[in-house]
Order: sequence, then structure tokens, then C-alpha cells
Amino acid sequence: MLKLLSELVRKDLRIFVADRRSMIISFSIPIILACFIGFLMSQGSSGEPKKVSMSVVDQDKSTFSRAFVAKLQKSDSVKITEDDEKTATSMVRHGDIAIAVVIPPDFGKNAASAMTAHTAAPEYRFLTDPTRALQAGMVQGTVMRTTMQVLPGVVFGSMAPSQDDQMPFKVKSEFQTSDKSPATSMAAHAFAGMGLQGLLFWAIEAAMTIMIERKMGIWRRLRASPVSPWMFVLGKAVSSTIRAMAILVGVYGAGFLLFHFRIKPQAECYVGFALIALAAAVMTSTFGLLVASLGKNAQQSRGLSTLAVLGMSMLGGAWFPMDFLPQFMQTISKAIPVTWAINGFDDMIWRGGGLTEALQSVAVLLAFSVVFAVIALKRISWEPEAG
Amino acid sequence: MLEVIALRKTFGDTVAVKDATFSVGPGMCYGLLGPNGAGKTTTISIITGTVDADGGKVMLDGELVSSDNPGPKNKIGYVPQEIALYSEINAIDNLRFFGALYGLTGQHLLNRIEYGLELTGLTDRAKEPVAVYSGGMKRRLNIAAALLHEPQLVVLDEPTAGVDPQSRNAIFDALTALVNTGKTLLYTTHYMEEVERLCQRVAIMDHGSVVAEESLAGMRKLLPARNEVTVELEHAPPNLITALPGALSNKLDGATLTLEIDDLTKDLPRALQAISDLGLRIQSVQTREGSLEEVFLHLTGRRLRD
Repeated sequence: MLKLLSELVRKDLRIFVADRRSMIISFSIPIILACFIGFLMSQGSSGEPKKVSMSVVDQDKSTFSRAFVAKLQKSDSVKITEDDEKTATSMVRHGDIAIAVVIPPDFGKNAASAMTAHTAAPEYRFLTDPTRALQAGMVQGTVMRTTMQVLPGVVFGSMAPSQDDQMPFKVKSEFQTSDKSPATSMAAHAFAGMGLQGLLFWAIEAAMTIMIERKMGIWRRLRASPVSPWMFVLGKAVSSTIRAMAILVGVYGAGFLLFHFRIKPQAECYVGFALIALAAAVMTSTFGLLVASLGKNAQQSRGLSTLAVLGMSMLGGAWFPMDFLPQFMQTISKAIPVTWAINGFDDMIWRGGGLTEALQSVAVLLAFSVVFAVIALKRISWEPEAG
Repeated sequence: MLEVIALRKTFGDTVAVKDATFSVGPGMCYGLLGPNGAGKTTTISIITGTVDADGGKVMLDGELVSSDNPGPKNKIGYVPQEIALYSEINAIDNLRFFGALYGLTGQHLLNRIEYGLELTGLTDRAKEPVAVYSGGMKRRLNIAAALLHEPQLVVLDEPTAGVDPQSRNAIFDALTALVNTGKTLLYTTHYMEEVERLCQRVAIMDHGSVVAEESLAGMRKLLPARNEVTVELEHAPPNLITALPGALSNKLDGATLTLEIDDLTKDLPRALQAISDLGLRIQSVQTREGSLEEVFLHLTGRRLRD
């Protein structure tokens, strides 16, 4: 039986290697995507504060507004230009900046009066790009903080406390990664996400070959042999798992080489990483069988499964951090294998998890594999069409 | 050797095979004739254990054939209608894989691969990927893949579909060699000339049923007249010829008279004498045996390739 199984696997591996173009695509697409996303994410988390560009429209021209602009110019979080309202509006609309703040006439006088005599507070006008709400929100916070730092000095003169002493505390961020490097952690996360997504897309292609084999009459010939259909399915599952493992090794190999992240140097993390990779490969391979069993034809299966892979990748955190998703979607993501695979890989590389966390991911991935395999075996039809 | 008894198979509302019954003796080439959609492929799918019948049974050497019984499957070599090969890998790797399915290993497998390649004339191209083969070469390899395990019964489903005349001849040579070694062949096609060339006995299928099952000679006996005789006259006769003794029918077209004659020895001399008695001079006489195509037309009212 093992001899026969090895022949079934060997044949699939020979076909995989013989079709050079498909093989190169299987390896290169996830690597290219992971490198691209990893590069973007690691740039965004390098720890260096990044200044957001903004425009200030000073229509007040008061002592306060001059002091406010001067203070903003020294800010670590924004980079400002002073413009008239028409220019500032145009810059926002053309996407040059995320936000402009308009200081209306008499703002300083009215703000001082509101502070001392509790009269009506004046309003800043923020001109914002709705697609860049995060940057706009950050700028609004900076404007508020700067106003509260500058206004007392203008109103109370030397009686006001020193502007720099307004905040009675300081903030220091500590990144919770095993190597204290947020850039490599983000890259490792990107490789986990894109690696998994690439594997699932590859599984769809593997499923298509099963469907094409069926259409070509190869299944008919296989069924005429004395070998049980379960043996053919097992052969497909084993060969797909080996190919998926090879792709994962290629993807992570590229990540280790290009982005210098590493598995946490502990034996349990090496073992955990290998087990998660194996479980993810098994899950991918059974997902391929599921795809092959569900659609009535290759085109239909490809369309539906592509949608499923994109959904699983997005909800599983392969594209962007899960925090971007609404709470209910974050809850749904627990029921998606991609989430567990990515979390498992992240645990072994930069989150500092151990074998316990790895085994959790492995158990969930294998459970998904069993579900996929059972559905696939129930759905696969061996009977040819009428002739 | 092979007995097909009251076989029945439906797909949804479509009855693909309806009470098909026939038997194939050892060492015989047996033809299964019928147009596309007649139920030939479904019948042989059941015979090869690819599909289970809804009714009836198939026995091979007294053993019941079914999809989950590996015993009879080891005795059958199946050549599907499609080119059921892996085009990315070469002929040797394909044959190695299909041989392994029947438990062949080691030197024995290598010897059988060599035999298959020689029989089908592919030895020189054995290491090239199947994708670069011509249609005829793929067809030949398709046959070789079914012969590795030395099956007693070889089932061929339209093995010459879409091949050039040269490859068709190569395939016939290979199949004739198989018949000469005592193999039993079940050959399905809708090309009657292939059956006439290879087979000793024939079943004709139409709409899922076996409408006739006879030896080749027996099939021709099913025609009202077994021979068509074309008589070229010196001149077109001035009057219509109403009836001729010995001829079942006659048709006159200018100076060409076509007769349907059942027995050439007994009836043709009588018909020729009657023509002479009418004062007509005969320039030439050509006889042609009734074809399977005509038998099919006679039995079903339509042509094989409709």
C-alpha cells in the first residue's frame, strides 16, 4: 500500500516539477506580494515618528494665532504650510494633504474671552479628506493639544505656567516582540499572511487540475484500475501537502533572507513552527480537495473559491491588522483557518509564544482539515457522464 | 469469458443502457457498434467497473464485475475514449504510473513498459513529454497504458477517434498483433469499417439497447438482400423494367441497373438471364456485399454517424 501511495505522490510531484512555469508562479507570487506588503508595513512601523502634512489658514492674525502657528511648526507630529483658504481647499481636494485648519477672524480674542468670561467658544474649521480619516484625526488631536498649550500664555502672560510643562507626564512605547524590532515583526506578519493566501490560491489551481483530470477521462481510467478511490484521494492529499510545504519553505526562506526575521531561537519554537507549517499545508491540501468536489465545472469552482480565499485572507488578517475590522468581523475571524495559521506563525517568530500556542493553532488547523476532507469525500462524484 | 446480462443504467431521467445482453468468447475481437449517444461508453464503463449498473450484471470468467471488486479489474485493460494521460510528463513516467496501479514493480514493470512502447512504435520518443506528441502518438500511448498488466480482456472505446490514416494503420497493426496473441478485445466505435476489419462478432446498440447481436456474416443476413449488384447495359432500355426473377428489387438510372440479390449463386444467374431475355446487352456486372452501415440503417432507420 505504501509503495502504491508513493507512486501516486511521485507522479504528482513529477508533474509539479515538469510544469516549470506553474511551479515558478506558485513560489514567486506569494514571495513578491509578501515582500511588497512586508516592505510597506515595516516602513510604517520603524519607530521613527512620521510627520503628517497639513495646511494652516490664519485669518485671525492675532497674537494667539501667530504663537499657535509657531508652536505647530516645532511639532514632531505635523509639518505645516501657511496658505489662504482657496489654496488649502485645493490641496485637500487633490490629495496633497489630509487636512487643513482654518483659524477664523477674532478666534484668539473669542477663545480668551471663552476661557475667562465663559462666553461662546469660537470654532476651528477643519477641511478634511474623508479617505484619510486616521491622519486627519491625528492632526485634530495635535491642534487641540497645541491650542491648550498656547492659549493660557496669551491670556495670562507671565502668570501662566511654562508651555512645555503643560503635560504632567511623558509617553514611551515598548514594542512587544521577541526581538524588540517592530519592522521585522511587521514583515514576518506580512509573510505569514501572503504565504497563506498564496497557498490557498495554489490550492485552487491544484483543485483545477483534479477537475481537468476528471474531464480528460483520467479518472475513468483510474477507476477502472483495482485501486480504491480513497487511495487516489489520499495520494492527492499527501502530494498536495508536500507541495504546499515546499511553497511555505520557499516563502519563509525568502523572508528570512530578505527581511532578516527569524524563528525565536528556542527548540519549542522551531518544533512549533514546523508543526504549524505542516498543519497549514494539510489544511490547504484538503481545501483544494473541497474546491474540486464542490463546483460542477472548473470555471464555477474557480470563481467561488477565489471569492472564498479573498474573504478568508481578509478576515484572517492577511491583508491588514485585524483592528481595522469591525468587532463582529473580528469575532467571525476566529472561525477562519487563516487566522489560526497566521497567529501561529506570528507566535513562533515575534510574539514570543511557545509550544502551547503552536499546538492550539495546529489543533484548530487540523480540525478544519478534517471538516474540509469529510465534505470533499462526501461530495466527490466518480461517475462519468452518460455516453 | 465476458457475459453482459440485462444491463441497465440511468442518469437522472435519461436511460443510458436498457437491458443490454451479449457475451464475448475468449480470443475474440468483439465489436460494439452504435452512433454517438447509443450507450456504448456507459456499457463499457460498467464492464470495466468504472460505474455500477442499476440493474443486470457483468460476469468476467464467472466473477461479478463491480466498482469495488478489484479481482476482475486486474484482468481488464481499459483504453478510454479520451487521451487519459498526463501530458506534462513523458511516456515512460506515464506507463510507470499506470503499471504501478496494477501492482507492477521493478524489472517486470520496466520490461512491460518496453513492450508497450515497442508495440505502439513509441520507443524513440519515450523520453519526451506527452504534450509534444501528435494526436496519433497520444492515441497509441493511450493503448499501451492499458496493456502493461497483460490483461485478458482489452476494452477499447473509440481508440481511433481523430487520428490520421497513418496512425490508424499503426493502431490496427498493434490491435491485430494483440488478437493474434490470443487476447480478447471489446471494441466500440461508430466506424463500421473498423469493425469489419477487426471483429468476428458484433453487437449493434441504439438508444441504449442491443438491437442485434451476430457474427459479421450473420449481421449481413439480417438485410433483406445481402448483395447489391450493379449491371451496366449497352443502351438504356426503352421501357421500365418492372420485375426481374431472382432480384428482390431493381432500380434503373439511364443505362445503369441496380439490383438487390440475396443469394449470388442461385439468384444472380436467373436475374442476368432475365435481362438477356428482355433483349438487353450487358457490358459489366459488379457485386457488393451489404455493409454493417446498411444493416444499422435497416434495423434502426438511421445512419451510424447521425
